[in-house]
Amino acid sequence: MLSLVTFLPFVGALLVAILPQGVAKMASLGVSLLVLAVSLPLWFGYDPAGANFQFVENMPWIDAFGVSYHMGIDGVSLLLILLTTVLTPIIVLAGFSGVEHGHRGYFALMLALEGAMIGTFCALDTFVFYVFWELVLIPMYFLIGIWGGQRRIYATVKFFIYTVVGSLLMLVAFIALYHWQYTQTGVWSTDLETLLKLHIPYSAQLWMFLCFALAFAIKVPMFPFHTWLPDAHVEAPTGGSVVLAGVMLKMGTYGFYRFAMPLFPDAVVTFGPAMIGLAVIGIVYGALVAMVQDDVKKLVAYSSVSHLGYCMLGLFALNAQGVSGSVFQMINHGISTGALFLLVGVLYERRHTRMIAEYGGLAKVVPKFAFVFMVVTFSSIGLPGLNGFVGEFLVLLGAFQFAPVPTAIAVSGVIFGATYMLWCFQRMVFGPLQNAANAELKDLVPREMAYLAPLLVAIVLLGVYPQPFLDRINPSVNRFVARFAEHYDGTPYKHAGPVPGWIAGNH
Amino acid sequence: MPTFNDLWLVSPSLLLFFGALVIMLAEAIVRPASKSGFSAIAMVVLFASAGLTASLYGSDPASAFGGMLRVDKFGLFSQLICLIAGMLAVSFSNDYLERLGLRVGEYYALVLFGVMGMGLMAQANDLIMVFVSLEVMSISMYILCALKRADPRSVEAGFKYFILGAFSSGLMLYGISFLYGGVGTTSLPGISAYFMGPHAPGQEGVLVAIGGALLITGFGFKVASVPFHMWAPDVYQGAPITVTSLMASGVKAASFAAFARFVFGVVGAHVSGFTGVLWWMAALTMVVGNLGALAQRDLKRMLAYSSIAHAGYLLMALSAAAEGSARANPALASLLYYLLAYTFMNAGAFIVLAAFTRDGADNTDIDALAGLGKRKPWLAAGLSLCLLSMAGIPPTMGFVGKFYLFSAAIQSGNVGLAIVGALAAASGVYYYLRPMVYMYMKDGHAETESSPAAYAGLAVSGFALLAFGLIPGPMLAVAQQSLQSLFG
Repeated sequence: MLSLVTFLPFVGALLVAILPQGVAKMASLGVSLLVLAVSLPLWFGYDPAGANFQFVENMPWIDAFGVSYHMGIDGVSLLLILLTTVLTPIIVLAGFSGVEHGHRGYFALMLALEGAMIGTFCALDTFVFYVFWELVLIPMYFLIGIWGGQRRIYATVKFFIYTVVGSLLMLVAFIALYHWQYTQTGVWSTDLETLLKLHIPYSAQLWMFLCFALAFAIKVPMFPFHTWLPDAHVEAPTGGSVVLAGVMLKMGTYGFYRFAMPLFPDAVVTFGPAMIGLAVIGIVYGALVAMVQDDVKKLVAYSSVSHLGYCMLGLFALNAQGVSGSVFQMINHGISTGALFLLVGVLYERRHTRMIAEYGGLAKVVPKFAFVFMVVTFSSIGLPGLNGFVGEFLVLLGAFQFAPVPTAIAVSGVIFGATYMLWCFQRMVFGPLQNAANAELKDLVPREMAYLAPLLVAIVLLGVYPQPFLDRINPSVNRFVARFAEHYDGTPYKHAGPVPGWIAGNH
Repeated sequence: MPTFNDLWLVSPSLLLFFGALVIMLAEAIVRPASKSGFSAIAMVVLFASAGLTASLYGSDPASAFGGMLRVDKFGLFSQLICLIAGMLAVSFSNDYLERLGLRVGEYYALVLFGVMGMGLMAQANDLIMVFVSLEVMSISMYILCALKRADPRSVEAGFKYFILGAFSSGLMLYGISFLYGGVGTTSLPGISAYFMGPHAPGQEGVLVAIGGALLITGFGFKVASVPFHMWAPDVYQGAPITVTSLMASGVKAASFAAFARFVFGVVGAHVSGFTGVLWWMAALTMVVGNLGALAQRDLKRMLAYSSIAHAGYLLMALSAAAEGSARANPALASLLYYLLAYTFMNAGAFIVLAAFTRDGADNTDIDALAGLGKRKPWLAAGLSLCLLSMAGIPPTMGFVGKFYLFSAAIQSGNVGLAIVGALAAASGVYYYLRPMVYMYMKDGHAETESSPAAYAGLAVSGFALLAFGLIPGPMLAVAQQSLQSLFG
């Protein structure tokens, strides 16, 4: 089942690559819809009360290394996979216009990217995870480099190098872990579930966690490793930006959730304050920088830095609300930031500029666009009733129990967030129509409405009725949190102070 | 007097030898027009020799020629790598040489002699035999480097390689004589047994140290490791591309096989100081190779520095191999596996570069690649695959190989070296990406020409890189099995 969802996009990518140029669009739309259809049974078949990992597939792959092809999902991976399979057809549909050359390559890479990302979310073997994790880079590298904007080569190389530096250090730590496993048990294995049973000395945990955390922090991106993101986002084609913000950044937070934190619980306690500190800096800094951008795509890129800060804050709060909120926030961010990038793409295709100052008074010319933009803006700033609110609220609730001062600072990010988004919205949509070039703008065409509509539905649905989603997240999150409780007798949770509670771990 | 069994054990090399003789004779009598058949002959001979090697692989290890050679699975696997390097080099030689205006039969004879020397070197069990086979290999290479007689670069390459190579051979021989003076034998098992057994402490410690150091210098030169790497960029750049391809993979494989026998059997366990030397050589080689490649615009020079970097990764395994037992040593198995991977990715990259050669001149500037992705998607895809494999990106063979190498290093406790290697490899990604930037993200119109045989060579390399990257199990098992008969 999981293999089907993972490898169907790859097959589709090959198909699109060899079919004639003319049918590339329809073929890739068909494939991506098929993948979506195939992934839906995961949602219905997933038993929230059941085992931690479901739809498990486990077979030997490389005996010499003890690597097994081990796939399985919990509630968190389930939602991230669905996010991927829902976003991909939307991206493909959005790519019908705006991609000016080489359709076959563009859509084939997009599908390959989808497969690699789904594989990343399914892998329960560290080796398999690493393979998919790196595999994601290659299509993205070409998507930005070939179909990107002016400084695309700089952006794509920067993106690749940043990620690879982190990944290689993670590889070293992972190999060290793999040997630790061998010396303790006498069996070679890269299986996550086996590795989780290890007892790793504190000092080794520290450096291994740092290596893993660096790889994931670059991907998230956490301050101060975020500088690749604005470049990559601004230069990427619309579809690339949507995938990047929508799904790829979550690979970083997911990496923390699935690997870095459960594997090295002692190190998590030690570095927790620092991680929370960086997350809070990211929230505030990202918001402040977003505020002064005059390029709307850059603004959305920095808003991602800020929003992902909430995800990290929630994860390191290490309690059920915080982590659930963080996961929920990952999904929200995928939907609303994805929608924002799509909207920017719509404008860019018409006017070929992303400067906020070039627009103004759009409400009169393109009312449908203005309406969608408004809903997405409200979702992004976390208006109650829409999806953004649920995630942010849970994160802040969880984090406050435990680190009140940093959380209080983080709350200011919510205010800044409202400021930059609303200000941007106001400058672009309201006011008099000053720029004559905007007078003839075409409103959303049916195709554009077709791909924006599902996102709007999701924004409202997740905001009004988040329960089915939280039901699937919560059991997994509770297990995740319990792992830390096991290790520290719950002490970090009893102390509601920013630093002392953290240090209370027993080394 | 060699027995029939001795001859059977070296039959792969004998076949190469006779093949080379046939080509040399035919060169004298055959009309120039039909000389293009030589490459087919060379290919058949290499293929048959590979077949013999593979059939010997199944039999028990044996000594040949009074202990001069040890035909074991380790040596045979290394020999097979050299033969594959030879076949891949020959696959694109014919049309490449024609475009260069070089129609010489001797070329194929020298390739066969060179590959023969490599194969023997991988199996040499006596320092004298190491030296002799090294010279057979090297002298063929010196001539091949200078094959483009009209091109000053090529002549410079051949001359430089010859002078420095001769110098390092001299040092090696000098080292052998020191070792002989200290230990009283040149046979590797003999030297090893000397250290194992009770022996009076005396002056031989100094002699062994000097001899070992000189030998390491010699090997270090052949595998292009820092600080003996200076020749590599110039020689790789000047030599004809096919020769560079053979030199980078075949010579490296043979030298590493002999180096491993020497390090593992002789110095590693007994002379502990050498492990530190290897550690530093590995670290410096990885760093200098990767940093040096960053600045290169000429792809041959870039690949030369990349080859130095790869020598560094292999040295990392070697320094890990110096500790631990022989039979199940993951470091030695990873060495073999990575050499095989390197042979494929290296040859594939050079096959694509050779396509740009026209009107008697190479065109290996990075600008030539611009726009290749649109004009020749298969060539571009092949080169990208090889480069991604060199960078160690999954799901290629290069990734599995690198994983294995780093894993071996960490297992032997060299976490520091592995981190140095990982950082060096990360900086290496930049220059492996750059050709892809040119191929897919820039426009250009340099013309290319490739024969079906060259495409076949590229296809084989690409297929191997993907197949052994996705299903590495069987080949890893073979690499591990190859150690079982090492050192009797």
